[in-house]
Amino acid sequence: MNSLSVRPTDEDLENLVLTYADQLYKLCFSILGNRADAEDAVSDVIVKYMTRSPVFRGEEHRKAWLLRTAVNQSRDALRARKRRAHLDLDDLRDAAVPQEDAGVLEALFQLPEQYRTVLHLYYVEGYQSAEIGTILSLTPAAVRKRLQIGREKLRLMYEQEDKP
Amino acid sequence: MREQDLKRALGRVSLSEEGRQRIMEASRQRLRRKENPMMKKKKLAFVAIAAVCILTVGAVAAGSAGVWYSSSSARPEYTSLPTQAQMDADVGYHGTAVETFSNGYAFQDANVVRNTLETDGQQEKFKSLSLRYEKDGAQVDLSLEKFSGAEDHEGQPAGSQGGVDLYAQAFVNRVVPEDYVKTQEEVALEQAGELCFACDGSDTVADYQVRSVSWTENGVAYSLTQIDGPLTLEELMEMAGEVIDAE
Repeated sequence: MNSLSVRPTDEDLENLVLTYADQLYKLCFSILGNRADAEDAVSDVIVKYMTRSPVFRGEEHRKAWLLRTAVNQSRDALRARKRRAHLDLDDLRDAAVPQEDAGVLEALFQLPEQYRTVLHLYYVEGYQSAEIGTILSLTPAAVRKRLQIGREKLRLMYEQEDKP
Repeated sequence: MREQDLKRALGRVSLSEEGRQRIMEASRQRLRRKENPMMKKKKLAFVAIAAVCILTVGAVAAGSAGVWYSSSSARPEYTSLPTQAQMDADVGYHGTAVETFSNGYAFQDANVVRNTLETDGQQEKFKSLSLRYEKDGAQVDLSLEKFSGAEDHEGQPAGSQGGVDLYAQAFVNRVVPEDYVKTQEEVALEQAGELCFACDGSDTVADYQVRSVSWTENGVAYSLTQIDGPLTLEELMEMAGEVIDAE
């Protein structure tokens, strides 16, 4: 039997991965905490995108869809594995993340996921609270609250660590 | 912790080139397994059938099997008959299409299809058009394709219309799971050209009756295909004549 398949072309896939994989990986890593889970989640997002062929109003709309799907996919992964995110320090070392920054990330991963995700979208993607609200289906006020609590929790963690 | 420390630390996390390749490969494999289950079965079968036809030609011509990958948006990209200028802009060439056929089949919508044909390690990428016509719930697909094998046709010579040779074929397209084992009877029917196989990643076996007429005009390969519909090959040939006459 001839080998037959119907699927998006390799070119489509390559373009999508080249354009968005790094961005999606950073977000998934912020939620899941390790390379393998984050790569799996990115692959899930890409497969969804390619098979569902969503229609977008523009590039920003496309990006928001991808980020929202990445958040949902990562949360599903956490739920499916019934565990908290696990920050793999070896993965950080492999990615040549300096010890100082690894410490910051370690602190970050002690926060519940909902705060990490908001902090990531705010600090890495540069979204404002209204835009984050659209992506996460939250009100802007709820986003601001999570940002505030997230920052505060991190500050407290750092202060406790600094105490003798 | 300063906010800029957090921003810098989060920004340090990045995807390695190896990671990118792993994601690419994992996605590719999963897409192959999925085989576009979101597509309507008829459309899937139609695309797979088109691939069977061309692949068979490839196997005869080059002595080895090829693989045809194609994709299109699940949503229609044209809701009115594409003009020649639109075809030129969207797929790089144009052909002929009609708004309605005399038997009542009328244009519904159309899509650009992106194709990758792999034969003997060589890849050919091209775009094609798939136009759908409907009458009383029955559908006919008219495809326009321009690629290196456009002059070769599967099926039997079936006369000519307006000086253009037509080829016709009727067979059952059996969509099977990847690990499906063909029976001897199926192998015999396949060899007789009465049965074609395709995989769509599903666990079940489904049959589709296919009738198709194809021809080439001005370097563009046309095919009119109906799956599980009431049209005979003779009626499809008459419809082909209307497209040819519209040139």
